[in-house]
Amino acid sequence: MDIVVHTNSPEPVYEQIVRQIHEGVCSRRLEPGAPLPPVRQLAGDLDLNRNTVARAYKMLEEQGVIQTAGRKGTFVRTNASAEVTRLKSGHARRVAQRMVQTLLAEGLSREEISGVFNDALAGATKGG
Amino acid sequence: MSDWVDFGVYAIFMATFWFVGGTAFLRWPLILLADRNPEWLAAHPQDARALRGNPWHIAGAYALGVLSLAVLTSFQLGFLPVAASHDEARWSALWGITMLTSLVGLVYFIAGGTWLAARWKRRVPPPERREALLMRRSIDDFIPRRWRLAVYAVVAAHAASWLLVGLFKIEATAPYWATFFNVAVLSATFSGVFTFIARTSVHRPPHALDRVFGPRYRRDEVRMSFFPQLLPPVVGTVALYQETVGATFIDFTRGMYLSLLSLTTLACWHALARPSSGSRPTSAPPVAEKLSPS
Repeated sequence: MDIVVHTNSPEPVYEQIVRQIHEGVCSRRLEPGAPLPPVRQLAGDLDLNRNTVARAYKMLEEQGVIQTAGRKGTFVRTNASAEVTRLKSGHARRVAQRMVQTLLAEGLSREEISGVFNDALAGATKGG
Repeated sequence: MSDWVDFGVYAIFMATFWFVGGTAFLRWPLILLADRNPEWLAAHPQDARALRGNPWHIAGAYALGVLSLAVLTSFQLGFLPVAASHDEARWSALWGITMLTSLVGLVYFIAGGTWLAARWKRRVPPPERREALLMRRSIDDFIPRRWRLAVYAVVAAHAASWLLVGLFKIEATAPYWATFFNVAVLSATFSGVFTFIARTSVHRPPHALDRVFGPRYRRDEVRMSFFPQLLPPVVGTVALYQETVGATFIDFTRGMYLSLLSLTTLACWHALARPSSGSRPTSAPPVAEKLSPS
């Protein structure tokens, strides 16, 4: 699996790495148990500071997506896919909650908010 | 063995070293530059021409190559006052001249490359889009474990056979043990150094040549860095045979010098032949082709 980073992107580089590994895990391009390159190798290959890659790996480890087994290296965890799904659901819930609170504060009723969401969902489904 | 064999091998090595090195400086900078940042190169063709390298540096390499060959040839033909001591064998003096001029060349090329790289670093920004393969590299990907073990076994068996022949008093003279010491130290050094170089080749970040030639480039580099450690066992076996039968075809050190430089020359020619043998650098960005001197 290839990993691509854009240094001029508003998304921080370490988050780009995390996101692409999440995507790889969900699409099964990164199988459970798959070895990941060491921090030094990936940082060298992407011409990045080692701390950037180390930060991404640390975040993924804390999320339960990867595990570091000492000198053996870093691997995708067996339950990584479930962890990524859980993370995505949690993130979606938080975003939706923030949006609902904003809309409630703007004076919309529960029915109106529900309608807005349903319309947006229908539009997105139609748009593909 | 005639000194002319040594002279021939060293002269071919020298010509290859200087002229292949010079040609590389003529041929590769644009491709390397395009690989560093193709967008910048496309947007700044005039700057790119200026950053292509100094033609005087290339001309200097060719001139030094001619001079080195002239010195070697003069020594071989007896025109040069003998610089080596009278005790020193002629082949050893030829080796000395080759190494001295190669050392000068190495400094010359490294200095030129460093100067060019520093200019690029200052002028050409690194690309904003960067890509890497999310896969751990290991030496096993390039040289199967059983091959490596076989090489180490050959190295160990070779040293053990020298030891056994000496211990069983087949050939236990003082010069024998001196040669054994020489063989053992060289074998250990070659194994250590070339294993280290091969591992460095595995772990180094990819560069332009990987992208130009594809994944086979690193594989060839790793293999060419690993297998030279078989040289001491091969030459040492001939030397051991000489010791046991009491004949002398070739001195161990001389054999090592000749085989090492022959191998280096072959590797250079192999590297030089690759771009024109079907795997031309097609992945070189079109702008590099457009700006190419030829």
